[in-house]
Amino acid sequence: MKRYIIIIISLFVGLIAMAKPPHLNVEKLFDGSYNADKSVSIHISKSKEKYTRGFTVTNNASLVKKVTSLFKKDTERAENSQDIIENGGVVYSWMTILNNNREIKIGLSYSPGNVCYLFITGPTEAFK
Amino acid sequence: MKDNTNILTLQDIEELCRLYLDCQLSVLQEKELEYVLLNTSYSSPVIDEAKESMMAESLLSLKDLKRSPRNKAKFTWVKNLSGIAASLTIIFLFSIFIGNKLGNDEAYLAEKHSLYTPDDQVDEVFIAYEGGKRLDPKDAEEAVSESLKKAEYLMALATAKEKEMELKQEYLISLMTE
Repeated sequence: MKRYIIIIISLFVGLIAMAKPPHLNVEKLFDGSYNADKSVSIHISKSKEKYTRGFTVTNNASLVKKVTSLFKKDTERAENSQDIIENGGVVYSWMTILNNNREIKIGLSYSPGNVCYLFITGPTEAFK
Repeated sequence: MKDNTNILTLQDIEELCRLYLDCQLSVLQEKELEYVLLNTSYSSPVIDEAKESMMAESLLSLKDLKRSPRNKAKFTWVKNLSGIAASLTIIFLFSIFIGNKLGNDEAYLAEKHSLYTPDDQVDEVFIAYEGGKRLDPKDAEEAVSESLKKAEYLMALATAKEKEMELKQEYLISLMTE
């Protein structure tokens, strides 16, 4: 009995592992819940080759904090990540995540006045 | 057999019962006696004892039947099959749940903005929201282009910083080796 269950679960997990969306934490910002937020600007560009999304927050400290927190969660699985620190504070962070053997680049820049800009970009294949 | 039942006297039946209790009868004869006892109205301590013994034997054989390897194999097969069916159902429901949960973002975009459908017809799709409102296609294209420029600038900055760091490291290493 257990043998059958293990075989079925292994097959299932194998199928899932073959091709999957990246399920990035920062992608939650593009689920439509911030479309009506006045402190947010969302920009999406999608073609067969490239998929880029931008998320700008203006004058919203709590949302900047949330974006930072989501970004940090994704850095845990990043292939590489870097921070540019100026005057004791992070002004720009970026990372590369591999998915479906394609590179996804994610960047987050901060400006004075609780402003931040996040982008996610990569080949469309990387997000399928 | 029915005729035999009528012909057999109380003594004959008692004698047969005694032989049965002494295990002197063949299996076939035992079955015949069982039939006789079921159809006879005679009663005596020996006959009653034989009847009780037969009843106990029947119950035991019924238990054996339940425990027979064939039945056991059949039961195991049914159990395995129901187990597999239950596992498949759980996995199926789980995959639907996960698929729905994880596909929410993409499904939302696909549904709300037809992000995927134009792929086959249009080269590139632009969607923009600013100040809580969706921009019309022309303004969206401009806004998205600006955003893309910003992203490209930041990516170039990242590459430049990485190169700068590499050069610094190489310089420091060269100083140490000299």
